[in-house]
Amino acid sequence: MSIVVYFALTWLLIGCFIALNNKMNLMESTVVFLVTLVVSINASWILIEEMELIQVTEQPEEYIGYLLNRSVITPLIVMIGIILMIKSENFISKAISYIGAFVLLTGVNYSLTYFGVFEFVNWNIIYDLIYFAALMLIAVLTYKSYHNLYDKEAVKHT
Amino acid sequence: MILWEQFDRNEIFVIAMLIVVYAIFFLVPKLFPKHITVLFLIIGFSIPVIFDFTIGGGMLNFYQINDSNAYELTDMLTYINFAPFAYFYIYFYERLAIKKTTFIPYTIIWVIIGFILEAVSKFMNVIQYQNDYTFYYSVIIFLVVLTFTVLFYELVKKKDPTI
Repeated sequence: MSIVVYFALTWLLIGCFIALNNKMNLMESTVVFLVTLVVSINASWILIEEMELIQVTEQPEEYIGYLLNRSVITPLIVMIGIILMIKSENFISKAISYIGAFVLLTGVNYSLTYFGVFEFVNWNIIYDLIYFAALMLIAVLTYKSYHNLYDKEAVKHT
Repeated sequence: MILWEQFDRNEIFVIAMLIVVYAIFFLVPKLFPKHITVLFLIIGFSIPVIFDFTIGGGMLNFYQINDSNAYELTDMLTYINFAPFAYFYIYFYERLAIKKTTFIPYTIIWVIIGFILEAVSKFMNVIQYQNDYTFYYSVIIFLVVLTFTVLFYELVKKKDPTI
């Protein structure tokens, strides 16, 4: 069951990502996606395999749900959050996009416990909120840094 | 996360490779704007991370990097080692003016380079195969990764006026 849910969610998020008018260019989108992906992969590995704060299922079907969440759903939600932040014209809308994204990330991650993909051993939803807020911050800072670098190079070129 | 289980030949090899690879990276004349260099360094770093934590660990666990399945500092240095390779692949693709007709031999040469590096890495205990994974399966990964890297670069070239 979980594989269907997370596959459908992946499809839905890809659809939303395409439908949104992405103000980031191809290079910026790639950098933000890959940095988020690398942080997400490393963090989940450290939390699950090294510190054993979360237990992950040993059933292959549910495990695919975990891989989809870690490697596709999480970076896509972060990307959508950043696109909405860039589109927002005032601070409140930007803050709502930021908070909305990490609350959604926390909700999706928590849903893994419902489907038996995760079992929180020494972990809870508050830690998840802090982790995803930090992940969003890393993604935003990555976007800002790369965007500035791109602008500098574009100015040099003109 | 540990530094390493035992400082032996795999750690020495990874550190030596790091010095050689980054020396070449800083010595070759610059060809791309900084944002393209950074982009391909990030791609080069991300690819081994994605593969290692998906098929090299967890449920599939087809290979072990360095001394153990635990996360070591040497593992991170190994991924950092890979970062300039995506850059070099694109660098020489542009420098040698590779076209559609020369793309296949160019990529085959890179697959051979990858194959040799993997054989040396295996000999130096940087990589150990497990769960029926064999050496030859890596060719599939090389072909897919190298082809997608070039396709992505061609897309970037179309979209980015600074190249």
